[in-house]
Parts: sequence; structure tokens; C-alpha cells
Amino acid sequence: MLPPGPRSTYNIEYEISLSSLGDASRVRIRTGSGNVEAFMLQYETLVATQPYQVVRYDVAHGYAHRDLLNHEGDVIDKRPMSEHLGRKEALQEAMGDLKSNWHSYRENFVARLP
Amino acid sequence: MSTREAKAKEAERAEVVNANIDLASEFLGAVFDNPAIAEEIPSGATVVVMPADDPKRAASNFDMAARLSESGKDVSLWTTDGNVLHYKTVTPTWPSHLGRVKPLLDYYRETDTLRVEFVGVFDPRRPWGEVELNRLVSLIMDTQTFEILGLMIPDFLSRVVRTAPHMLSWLTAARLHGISEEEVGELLRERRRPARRNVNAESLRRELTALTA
Repeated sequence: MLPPGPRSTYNIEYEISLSSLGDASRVRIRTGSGNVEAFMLQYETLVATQPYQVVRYDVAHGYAHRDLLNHEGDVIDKRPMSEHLGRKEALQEAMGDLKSNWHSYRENFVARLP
Repeated sequence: MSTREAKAKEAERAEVVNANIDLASEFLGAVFDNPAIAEEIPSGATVVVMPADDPKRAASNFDMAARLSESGKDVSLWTTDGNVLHYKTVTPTWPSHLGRVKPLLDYYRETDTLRVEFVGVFDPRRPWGEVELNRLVSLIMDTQTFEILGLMIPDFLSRVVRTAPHMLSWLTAARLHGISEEEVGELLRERRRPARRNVNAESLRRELTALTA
């Protein structure tokens, strides 16, 4: 079980650019005692110049899970990630899922836009 | 845009995003292994990962970093061999032996672009990207060593020569594509500019510096 970590306790945030078309992953990390204690990773994209969060991987609220989001940032689908993962393994699983599915997540997100 | 073009563009986007997700994984893995990396990259930064072993991707990502920086983002470059650079501190350097470097000039009428490669310095196997020197001229730069490998001057006749008429004579030292020597000769006569056969990289640098000033 991963320890809880409210968003306010993240001390590092990076946007990692994935393309010139506005695709990016945003990561928030909490570090302490020389270790990463919690992290949240999300995929963001631009649709007609408007930035949106599409999917979020969170290992800071007691269990690792993946949230699909709608255009208002509400969770529309929550799926647990594998249990008993270390944080780095959870990161690898999140990045693997993102690589396999970002395109369909984005397409479905755009299709759901009002 | 046709359906085929749209599909090709989307496939290209997918290739770029997939490659950069792998690079992002590498970066975050390094941060997780050594959170002290975060002390070198300020929180809130936009990170662009530069693969040390993929010159083409490095060049493409450097272009992306340039655009992001121009849009006002605080961009940090992290290379997969562990170096961190703040984009705004990147300083292009001219080759140390510039006075002995022969420039190879090509002018393309279709795009109105003059491209200059420094012979013996530019090598397409090196990771290179373009970075703006000023509003008229871009530098072709090694994206790992930041050595200047050449120049790219778009809107050469339509804009640059109007600002700096003396640069028209550069065309007489260039290989011409889509424009004849006679047409260039006519332009020179119209603007009373001398032909010029001997151009070296140092003189180009001096003229560009004067243009910037």
C-alpha cells in the first residue's frame, strides 16, 4: 500500500513536453529523505488551443489508480493499477499504459467534448 | 487537408509522442533514482528530453524547446547522458577556426531561402537544430555542443536583402536553385552591388553581427 499524499504536499512539478502540438505529461512529485514518496502523472493535450487534462495516474492517495477525465476535469472512469508496486514500478506501469493508450484516450476525450 | 494528409500528420504525431513518452520515462526514472536531479531543474519548469544517441530526435526536440521558450515557458533540457541545461543559457558558439572555414551557400528560389553550411563542420550525422540569431537569420546549431554549423536565412530576397542590400552579393557565391545567374546578375545591376566570389565564414559572421547590431 502506498502512503497517502495530498496534492498540496507535492514539492516538485514538471511539464514534460511530448510534441509541438501541445501534448505533454505533467508530473507532481513529493520527495523526502532522498526518496520519491509520492507522485501524480497526467497526460495533457491541446484541442483547438484549449489545454485539457485527459488521464491521470495517481499513487498518492493510498492506492495506485488511473483516472480518465472529462473536459471539466471530473473523473469519469477510475481503474486501479497493479497492487504492491514500488513507486518506480508504478511509474513504469503508468508510462507503459500512457504509451499504449494515449491516442485512444485523446480520441475518446475529443469525441466526448460538448 | 485531405484525409490522407490528416492521417499522415496524425501518424507523425503518434511517432513523436511515443518516442517522447519513452524519453520522459527515462527522465522520470532518473529522478526517481536520484531525486537530487530536481535540485538542478526548478519546479515548474517545462522539461524537454534530449536523447544522446538519437541526433534526429534531439534536433527535433531542440526545435520544440526553442518554440516553447519563445512562448514564454521556462524550458530545461535534460540529456539522457545526465546533463541539465537551462534553454536560455544555451549560447551558440562559432567554430574556433572560423577564418579557415569555407562556407557552402545554396539559394532556393522556391522558398526564397539561403542556406549556408560550414564545410568540414556541418555533418548531417551530428544532432542539429535551428535557433534564431535575430529576426532575419537562424543558426544551424549542434544541439549537444551548441557549435554553429551553418546559417539559414529565409525570405532572403523578399525581406533580408531589403534590410541589408549588401547581402545580395552573397548570391554570386551560392549554388542557385530555381534562379539563373543572369537573373542574379540583373538584380545586382539594378541595385548596383558588386559580384563576389570569395566568401569565407568569418566574413559572413562579421556581416551578420553588423546586421544584428
